[in-house]
Amino acid sequence: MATLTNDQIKVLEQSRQRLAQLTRSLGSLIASLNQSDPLPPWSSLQSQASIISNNLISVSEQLSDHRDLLSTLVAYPGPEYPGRTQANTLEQLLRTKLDPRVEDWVERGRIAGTEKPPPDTFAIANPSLAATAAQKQLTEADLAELWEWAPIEANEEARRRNWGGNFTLEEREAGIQNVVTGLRKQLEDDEEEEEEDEEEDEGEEEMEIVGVHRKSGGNGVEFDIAPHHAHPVQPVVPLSDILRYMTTGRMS
Amino acid sequence: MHELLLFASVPTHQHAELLQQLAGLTAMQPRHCFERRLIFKAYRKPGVANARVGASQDLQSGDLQRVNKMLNGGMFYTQVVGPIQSADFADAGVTDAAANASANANPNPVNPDPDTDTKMDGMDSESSIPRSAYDFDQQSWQLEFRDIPEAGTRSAVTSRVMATAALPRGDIVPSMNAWGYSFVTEYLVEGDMFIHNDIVLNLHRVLHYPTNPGEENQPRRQMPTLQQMAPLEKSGSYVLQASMMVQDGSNQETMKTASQHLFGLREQLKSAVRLEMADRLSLDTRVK
Amino acid sequence: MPITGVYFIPAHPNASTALGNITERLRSSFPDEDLIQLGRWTLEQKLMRDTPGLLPTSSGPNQRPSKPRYMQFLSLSHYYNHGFIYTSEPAEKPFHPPNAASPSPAATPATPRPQGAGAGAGAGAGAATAGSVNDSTTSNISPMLMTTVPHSSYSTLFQHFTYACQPFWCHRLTVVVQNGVFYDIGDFRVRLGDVRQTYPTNRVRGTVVEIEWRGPSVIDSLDGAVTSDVNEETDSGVDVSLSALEESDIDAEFAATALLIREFWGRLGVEGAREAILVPGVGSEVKERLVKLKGARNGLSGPTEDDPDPQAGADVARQYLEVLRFNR
Repeated sequence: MATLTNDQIKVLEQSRQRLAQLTRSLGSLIASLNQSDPLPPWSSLQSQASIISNNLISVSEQLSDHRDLLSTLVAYPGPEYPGRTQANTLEQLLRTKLDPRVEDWVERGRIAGTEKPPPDTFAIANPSLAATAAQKQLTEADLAELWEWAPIEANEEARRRNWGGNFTLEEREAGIQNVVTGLRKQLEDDEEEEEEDEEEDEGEEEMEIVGVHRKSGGNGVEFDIAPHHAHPVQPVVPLSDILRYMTTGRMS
Repeated sequence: MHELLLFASVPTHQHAELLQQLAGLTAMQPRHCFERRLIFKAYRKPGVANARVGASQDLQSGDLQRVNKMLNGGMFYTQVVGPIQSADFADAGVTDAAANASANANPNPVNPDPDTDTKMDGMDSESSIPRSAYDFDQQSWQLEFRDIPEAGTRSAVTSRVMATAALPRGDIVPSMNAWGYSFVTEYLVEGDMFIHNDIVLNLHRVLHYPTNPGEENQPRRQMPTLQQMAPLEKSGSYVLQASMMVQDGSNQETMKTASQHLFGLREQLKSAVRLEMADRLSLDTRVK
Repeated sequence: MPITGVYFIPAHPNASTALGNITERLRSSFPDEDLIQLGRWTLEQKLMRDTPGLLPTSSGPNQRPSKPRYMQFLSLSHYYNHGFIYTSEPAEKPFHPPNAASPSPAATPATPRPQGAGAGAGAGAGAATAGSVNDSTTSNISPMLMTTVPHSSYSTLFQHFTYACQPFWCHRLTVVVQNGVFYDIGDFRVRLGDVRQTYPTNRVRGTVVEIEWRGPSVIDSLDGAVTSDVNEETDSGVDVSLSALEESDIDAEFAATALLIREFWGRLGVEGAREAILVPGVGSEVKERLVKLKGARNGLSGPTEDDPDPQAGADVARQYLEVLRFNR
């Protein structure tokens, strides 16, 4: 039973730090899910998820890099170990088998690892890829969830672009003369006129909608003004008459 | 209890879109609802309203003044509201075949339940009314009292005193009559309900029943088919109602917070619909 | 629904009530029984009157003095799932608003509830002793309609009537039994308590005694038969002879049990009590049950989520409300 070299202690200390990081980032994700109402914006969730994912990778690398050392290490209490006050930790350290709950997690992880594509392509990191790659594995419920989630997200992405023009904002900023369209026809940049039109029509177009997107703060939703509706039908009976009927059963 | 409200008229072409937008906003699927709404009106025997102040027998004069004041107090329209299912409409999936199938599905097929038989015979004889599974005697009801909206509120939101109380099932008219209310008419409200934090959103419209002679004077015991129902607003428009309940209406702080939540919603929806407070007199429940 | 009788012994304000006396008589009249207090019970009644009826009768030359109308709210701790509202039937059918579509004679809504049921029970009251409530009060007020409402609605509805119905309902008084006690004596359960008025002023009103027959009764088996799913009745082992029951049998059962209750009360020898046993309408729900058992449709409320039997206790509620219908 040799004592540990300084290098070996360093490896253990590194592992401890990485596990501590992982625990912290998991804890902060759980806390933000529990405490913020409404839920944190998806961008924040995603960044937390990728932090966790990075932590996992580094833990996993650390553990496999030093597999030889870690699998041969044996823990035993030294005489100076405070066994009385730290009995719980001691018991954990002296376990020869995993906690049954942990054993379950490990088992589930192994099954998931062998049957499914690598976990990092799964929904969190890249939902659209996951949808195609993992389509067969998705259950009905997962699919339904995805479909509920996707339209709003897609729409939100789409809303970031100013549709209707011939050029994107990036293209315009970079100078439209540089854009390779592959077309012979000369495209006009009609942005300026559009803005004027919108201002003029604002009053009557207010009632018409095409979509919904979340405000950048992640708090609430806004609706956008849509092109003209195909068959607008204005109500014949004024609102006040409807309410009067609902109240008394009479229109007047 | 107080109720704070905003309303908007929603043209029929906008209905489908607004449903989707509200589903997105509230992160819930619309809950489709049908409600029978029975309108009752307080009545008082004619001729006793303006009794003269005469010699008092067992009343103190202060009491007499109080009684006279009460006699001239407000009387109100009150609604009795009962939820129904789409299956309650005649022909809503209950065809002869289905009815027979359910009869056969009786746990004791050799000796079919005599109850079921009598019921069916009874219904067959009423050939003018299509068959439905609707059971009026099991219809649940609640009394919904709404006062006239408060006048002169500075905030741009409709605010009124409300009370809701569950009533016994079945025929509620005898009790309502005894309590001082007479049945006026009934209609059906069809629409979708959403919950957005502490706000209830109803996107609904009024449907009329087909009129059969003799049915106007009491709540109907049978439901027609849904196709026979006609919208009150012929163009098919809907009403969006955003409402919020406040337990203690005298607490200015909570009332203010509640109005602000409604205004927040109005802002969020402003490019889709214009939520506004209602014309106070259009929600006047007083009997004149 | 058990058969009960209710007695009320009025007391003068500020005088002691008959409660101690009755408890003592119970002890001495049934020396073989251990008088053990089994628990407590409470009661609250809020009485409303028709507001116009409070005016002096000489108020109008062209006006007949009308019968007083009452609306009584009762809450009993032994039927905690629901409250009782006992209301005078409208003297005349409500007239319809002027825009009612057809002025056909069918315009008055037919009342589906068998109002004759009350009269039927009254027939059994032939055996009633003089001085019972039937004779003294019912003649000058209109018949009463019993409605049971979920407990959550009880106070909301009361508030509604005081807030929105002032021209026709006026809250006159509230009485409570706060510390009622009950005993089992032989086949009877006896509930006793002092009735205090808490509105408009505090005062003692008297003592109320409820005597419940807990011996065998055909009515109990009827309850069991209906509360279980009607569809199963053919093989649920219920005595088939139940369906051979007639309303007259139920009247007879009530009348017979009333005699038992009166005999019990008689043994106590308490004077000056008002009795309510075979009050109008008593047994209506039992008869509705019978009709239901026989397979016809009717307006009886079935069990709800919160309340296994929404009409339980309607009879005893009627009895309480008859004896507690005080003038101020």
